[in-house]
Amino acid sequence: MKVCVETGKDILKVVESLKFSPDFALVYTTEKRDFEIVKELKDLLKCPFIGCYTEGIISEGKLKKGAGIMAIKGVKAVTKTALSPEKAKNISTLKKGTVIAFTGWMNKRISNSLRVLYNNLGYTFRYVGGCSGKFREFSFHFTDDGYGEREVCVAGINVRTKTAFDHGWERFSGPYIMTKFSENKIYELDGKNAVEVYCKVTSCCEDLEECRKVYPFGFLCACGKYILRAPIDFKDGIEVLSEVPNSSATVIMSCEEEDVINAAENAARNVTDLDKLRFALIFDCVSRKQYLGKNFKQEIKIFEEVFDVPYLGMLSVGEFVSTEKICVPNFHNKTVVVSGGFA
Amino acid sequence: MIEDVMLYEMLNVRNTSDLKAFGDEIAEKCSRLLFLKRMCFKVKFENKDVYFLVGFKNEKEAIEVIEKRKYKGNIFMYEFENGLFYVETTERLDCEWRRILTIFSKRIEEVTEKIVAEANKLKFEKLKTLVNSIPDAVVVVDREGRIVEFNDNFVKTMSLNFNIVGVKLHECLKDKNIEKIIELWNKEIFKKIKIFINNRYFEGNVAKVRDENKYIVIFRDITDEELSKKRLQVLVDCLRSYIFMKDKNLKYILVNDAFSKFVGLPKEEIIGKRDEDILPTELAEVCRKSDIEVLKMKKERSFEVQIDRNGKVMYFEGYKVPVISGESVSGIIGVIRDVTEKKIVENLKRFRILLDYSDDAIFIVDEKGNIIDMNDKAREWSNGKKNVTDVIIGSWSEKFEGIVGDKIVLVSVKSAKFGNKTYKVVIAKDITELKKAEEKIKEMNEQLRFLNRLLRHDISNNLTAILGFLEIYRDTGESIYLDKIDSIIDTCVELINNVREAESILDAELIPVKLDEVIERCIENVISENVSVSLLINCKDLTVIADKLIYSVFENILKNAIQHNLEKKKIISVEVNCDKEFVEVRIADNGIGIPDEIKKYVFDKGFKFGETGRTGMGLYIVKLLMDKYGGSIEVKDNIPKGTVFILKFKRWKD
Repeated sequence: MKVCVETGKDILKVVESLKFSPDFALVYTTEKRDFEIVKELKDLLKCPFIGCYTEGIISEGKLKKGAGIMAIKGVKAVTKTALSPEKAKNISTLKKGTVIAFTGWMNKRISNSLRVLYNNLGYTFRYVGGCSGKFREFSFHFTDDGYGEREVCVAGINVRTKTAFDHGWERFSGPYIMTKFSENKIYELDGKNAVEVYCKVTSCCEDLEECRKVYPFGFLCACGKYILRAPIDFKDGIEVLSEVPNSSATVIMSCEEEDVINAAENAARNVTDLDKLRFALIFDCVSRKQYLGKNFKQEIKIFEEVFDVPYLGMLSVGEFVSTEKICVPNFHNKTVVVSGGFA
Repeated sequence: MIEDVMLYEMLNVRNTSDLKAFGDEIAEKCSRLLFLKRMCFKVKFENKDVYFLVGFKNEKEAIEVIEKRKYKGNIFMYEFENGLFYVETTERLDCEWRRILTIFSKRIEEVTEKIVAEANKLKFEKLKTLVNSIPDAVVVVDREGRIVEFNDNFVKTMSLNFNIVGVKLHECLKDKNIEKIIELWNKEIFKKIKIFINNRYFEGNVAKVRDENKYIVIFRDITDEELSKKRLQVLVDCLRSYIFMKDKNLKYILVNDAFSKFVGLPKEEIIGKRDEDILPTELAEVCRKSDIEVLKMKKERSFEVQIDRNGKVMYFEGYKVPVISGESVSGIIGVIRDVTEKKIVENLKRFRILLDYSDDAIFIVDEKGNIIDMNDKAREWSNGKKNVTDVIIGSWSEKFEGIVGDKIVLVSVKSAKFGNKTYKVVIAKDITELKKAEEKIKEMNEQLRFLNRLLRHDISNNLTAILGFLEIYRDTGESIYLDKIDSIIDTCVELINNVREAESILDAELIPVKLDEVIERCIENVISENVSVSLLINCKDLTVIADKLIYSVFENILKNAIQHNLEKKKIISVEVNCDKEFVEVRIADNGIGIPDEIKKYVFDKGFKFGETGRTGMGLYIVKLLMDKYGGSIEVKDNIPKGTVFILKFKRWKD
């Protein structure tokens, strides 16, 4: 297996600079988001590929603008772009491997879509990915099979990967019983107005925008960690990204910058213990950058320090991951997902 | 702390009334809270298995995996009355996890049972409301026929009390047949119940309750329908045509008496059967095809069928009409008539036309000769007479010549059987013309024979005489022999002229002729020094029926009077007398006269008398002409001497 990562300003030039013809490519762009890109990449790459628009590309310990590509030779890859993840059945021809998926952040049933994908492809695949685009503005993701905003883009490669995730947030307050909630909105916690409870607990309601960066909701997960849901709006209840789990108890989480950065390192180091690690993929939540601000550089620098193999990351608007223990992919916020591919 | 929250999350189920939402919630919880590899939650709901799956492509895969499962530390399964909960994790499940999953499963069972029970209750309530809202009487019975459930209308309609659960239906409705019918239901033969209760007719349609050994029977009041059917039956039974009604499966649902009689089966044995069950194969196939056409086309269709029944050909005609309910066809009504007699009559009519166009008279008579039927010609001849022997006169035999008025007929008589009776067919052919033609042929043959004789005998004799006289003349040179030869040649020429004249007699057309002009002209031609002719006409307008040959009549008689007269002075007197019908001409001479024994031969062809006889044709021609004119001729002695010819001509009338 040959892997190389190239970055640059212009996506087409980046592709042209590849040293070999790949069998599969993962492409990120911070510039273009039109169908032409798909057509041009198809013409140039002549292999299955998946990619998306992102606000930043993580490579060489930096957050870059422009384009980034990870090209892999010596693998089999199958891709699909469809409105329903059910249509991605064709990937099951690979039998096992890794599934990379992108979808739109506006999808209010991301967890359900991930379960449908899992039902069709099964536990022999490891799942990673995230939501593409610019939060509150657009989504754009693509494969050589097509592109879209509300569609799901899926790529399967017959490469074994180890996945890890972490966020660095800890329980701050709770648990609270969500006594009234809808799909992606919490109205009541313990029978009280959710916004009021949230404001009272976090004491930062004068600047809710700032507050939501620090205090996400946490939902229990089998691994012992919490699955985070970042508040995105406080009008008539607290709206979170995608759905809240049914009939759950929730906690309000908080963090320290150091813990957040350490979490990224934890996740990265979790996959470096492999003997034959060949590459690494990083899905780092854009909200972490918002929270860490200038210190986000430290987080990115860690990846450069940890990985001595080609790696490529993106700023995602929510992340997907399944692990060795938790086979079913879950939807996370404010999390770093790292996937290490090995021979 | 985490375990407590997890236990809380597992036991706290939000969706406890909507199965779909509950299933999705379980799938989500398992995916998030367990180290899940695969999960299957199956619920038996409204007689179907509903699946909620994680990690399984489909139900089939889930069933296969669950059926082949082996005891493994990472598998947990919990089965309950209405479902199953299967979990396969990525890690071995320790006692604590199994305890948590058992509690979780119990909760799942509890909620599932509640949802199922609520759904069943709702379904039951709906069913009960539905059943009670049905205007028909509804009852549910078990395999033994014991009443399990019923609606209000069942009790009301059948005039029962409400305490009938457990009572057998046939006892309730007092109809032993019901018991037998329920036995049939147990054999999957779902026959309808028909009962007459409280002066009403009811029809009970049965359906088996799925997965339960119970039957639901809906009694419909079909009194109006039954009465209509009975009235209709009475009505159709009155009709002589064969009438039937079939359902859309082409099974008979109604037939009339005539149809039943025709098929030779009682109505009960026809109802519910198809054509192939009751009719000969060939006929059944024809009927089936036309039935299908009516059903398909949704149009009425007339038809004709000819069948051989016990060696007798029978003709039927009829029509079939589709019974249309809404846009579909629910059956067929058919009306068939036996038109065998009509067909025979039609055939006879055709035959009758043929007979009426015949020139022969055809009579059908009974044994006594009474006319039963006859064709137009026979009717014309019979002139109202009732017996054929009064019409045709003759010696009756199988073939004879008879007389009908002025006609000669050739009659043939043959026996014929119509039904059980024997009749005679008399065919009479008019052969009058034939007979006349025969006569003429006979006459012509005679004429031919005469001409033959003339040529062979008279002319041959005369030629021999001419040769004799010519030889003598050569020897003697006396001119007297030349005169004789001359005379013989004249005779021969005259003979030939006479023959030509006789031949043309029949061809000449009858016309009005003024007799006085003819007589005067003929007399002028014969008057000479030795011959005196007197003419006395005693009447006016002597126009008679004759032809252009009439001159020959007078020329011959006058010539005869001169030739058979040896007197120096030959005296001939002609006298004409008239009456209303005839003109009589008497021509008398003073010749040698004709002996009485000869008189009757003088008009015969070729008859010659005495030395003065010449061709023997003269008077024969006269007689022929007079016959043609419708007149007559006779010969008498003249007093004191000679002969008198009396000619009678028919007057010409416009």
